Amino acid sequence: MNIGARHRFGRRGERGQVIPVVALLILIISGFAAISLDAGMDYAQSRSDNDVSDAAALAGAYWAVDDPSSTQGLSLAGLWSAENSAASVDGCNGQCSAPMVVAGSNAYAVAQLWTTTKFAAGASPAFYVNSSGACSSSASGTFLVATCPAVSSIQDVGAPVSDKTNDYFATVVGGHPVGIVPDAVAAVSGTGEGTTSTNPTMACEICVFGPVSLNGGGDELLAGGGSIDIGGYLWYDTSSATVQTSNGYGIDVDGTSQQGGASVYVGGSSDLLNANGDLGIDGPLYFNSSSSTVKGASTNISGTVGATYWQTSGNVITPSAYGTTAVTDFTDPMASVAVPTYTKATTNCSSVGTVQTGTSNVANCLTVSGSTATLASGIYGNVTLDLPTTVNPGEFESLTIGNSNMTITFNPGTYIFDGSGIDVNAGGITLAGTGLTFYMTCGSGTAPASCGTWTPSSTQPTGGTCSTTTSGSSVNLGGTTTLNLQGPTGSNPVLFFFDRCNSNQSAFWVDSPGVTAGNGYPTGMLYAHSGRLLINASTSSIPSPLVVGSIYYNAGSIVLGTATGSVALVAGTSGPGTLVN
Amino acid sequence: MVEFALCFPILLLFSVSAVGVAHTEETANDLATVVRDGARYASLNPALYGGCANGSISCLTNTIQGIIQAEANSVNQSAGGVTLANTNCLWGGLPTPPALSTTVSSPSTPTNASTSCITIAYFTSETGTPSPCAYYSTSTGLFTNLNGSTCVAASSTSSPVYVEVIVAVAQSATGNPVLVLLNGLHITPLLTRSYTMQVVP
Repeated sequence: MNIGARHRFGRRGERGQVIPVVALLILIISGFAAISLDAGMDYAQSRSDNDVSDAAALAGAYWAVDDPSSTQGLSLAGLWSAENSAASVDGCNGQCSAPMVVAGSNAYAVAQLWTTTKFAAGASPAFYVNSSGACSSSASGTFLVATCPAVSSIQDVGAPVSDKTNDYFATVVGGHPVGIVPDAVAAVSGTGEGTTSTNPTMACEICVFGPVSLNGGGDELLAGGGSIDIGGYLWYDTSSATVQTSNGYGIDVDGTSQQGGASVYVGGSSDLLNANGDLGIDGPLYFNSSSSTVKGASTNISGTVGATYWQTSGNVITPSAYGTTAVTDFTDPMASVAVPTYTKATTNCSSVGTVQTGTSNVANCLTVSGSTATLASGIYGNVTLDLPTTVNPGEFESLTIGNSNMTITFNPGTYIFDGSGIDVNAGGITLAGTGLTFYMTCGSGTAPASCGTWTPSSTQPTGGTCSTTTSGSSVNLGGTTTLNLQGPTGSNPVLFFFDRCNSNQSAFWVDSPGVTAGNGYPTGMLYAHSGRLLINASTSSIPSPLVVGSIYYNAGSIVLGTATGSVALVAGTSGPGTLVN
Repeated sequence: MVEFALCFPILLLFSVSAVGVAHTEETANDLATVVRDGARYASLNPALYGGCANGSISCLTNTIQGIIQAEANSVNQSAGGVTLANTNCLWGGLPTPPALSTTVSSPSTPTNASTSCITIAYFTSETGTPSPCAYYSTSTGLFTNLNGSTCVAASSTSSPVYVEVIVAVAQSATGNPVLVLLNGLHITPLLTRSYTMQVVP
């Protein structure tokens, strides 16, 4: 036998050897695969259970915030139920059973509360709450309602969840399910995650105490972060104009005054009044037009519809079977908000007049450096800026922008105007700055004063009354202007705060086309309780929310507000529900 | 050699399957994070979802769908993230959300191999058992009420409103080798995840 023959014989002798090896390998690989699958599924289940616990703990914290009783010994069944309901609606994607907060003798049948001290890793809760709302200082102790702490004393709320793994393969070899015990804790107070809009605290995103008049084709008044409430009449004196809400918010026209005898007077064709939520009109609705639509998810019109004015065809009210319930008066959501506070400037800068190239410096007030200038904090009279200028917070009678194509930068703070106010009298102007409040009031020179005495009242439809009203400072955008302005963060994000008794009928006056937003919409509220928003040119860059005395559209294609609502005015406002574990 | 040639495909199938299953699990975990964070944002900001074109994959990050998309893009970065389109999932052919369930079934649409969808639904508990009362319509950019209710503005501790976020992703979009093979056979499994939270009263 030669060598080649031996090799061929040898390979024939090894034939089939790979079969048992592969069979063994498959067995081993299958075993590892099964372990991996079980482990993966268990991890996913644990993950879902943690999420359920998170949702339950947050719901418990919400309950504690909204029911802050200071009485001890009251049942906390509501808290337990809030946690249980939140856990129940979340099905863990089918990997766990609801309700997840297990009742019975299990130690995790309870909600947990931290009162005298806040939650810390490993720290036991001060109280446990069972499904009946009774409390105990020990999970296995005697539960009594009388033991329950005052809700106002609860600092952190825990929502332990009890679950077991669903092993698919481990049980084949005698394995047992393992307990999963996620234990989320949420703070009752603190800074919420993410960002929140101020609008949830406001009934209306656009609140107008007097009339709204649309006089240009294609004008729009939009809100998507709150309702539109109009205290006076709503007058369409043009075609293809729209007043509309989205995101489920409604429109109310209280109609305390009337136009042509109507609370809502639709005088053009193809006009649209469209509430994505409920629509209420307190008074008559007249159509002197065709193809216009008045629509709400539900609609109530307390007055006469049509009268002698339903003259043309194609007008539609939806739903056609509308109700006749009267609209409840709304109040000023800002009625109790304090006027802007500021540190009064002490430097008299009344000698500063027109700022231009070659203007002499004024000590502690004005610095001119080449083609730019800086105004220090001070008390100014009537100032005209013909140079790009950085302005610091202070008091002004007026600030006129007199030269074209330049940027005026406002450093953060409060600016008080007690004369004619801000007047952009040139084109190509950018107004920029963050953390700003412009307080437009009355008075003069070194003595800014209120335009009247405001008395808040919960019984007044407008949220309060003025002893007198005076036409005070205004904002006049008379040239093409880019508004790159942001209001302050915090609980009072008002960018333009007109004194509540400032009755200027052109309080915020857009008198030139080309007023645009810079980096997105100006952020912050425009609040002019007694003033009028007067728009003489197409624009879509007016900040919202709007809380104003009246609105008058005097040109076409003006868009106020946005369909999505004013967004993210305040980052990280205080709110319940920060998960701390 | 012949025996090994016969066995090798089996071993390869086992190995690739293991990789595929692991990949699916990873994506499922990623999507669990996505819906969790989306629902949390929605519970704090229940009205922030407009301003994004139907089908867009880059909504503004101060909207709910924008948060969901950003989260999806940020997960599983080694695979390029998960792309979610601002498109409503359809349930029985309609965007109306399904009832809350402990097991969320896959939507009837999308079915194409490279698509995804989002449902943002709100449930009222006024009548006891939470029932759908509104959803976000990606085609109109509007909040759409069901049965004339205005549920989002009415969440309270006595009658809480819940928000559910559901995302579904066609598996071929995740680069899963097993599912790429299945897609070749015109089989497009959807990976669906949901999360529900109470809207802040």
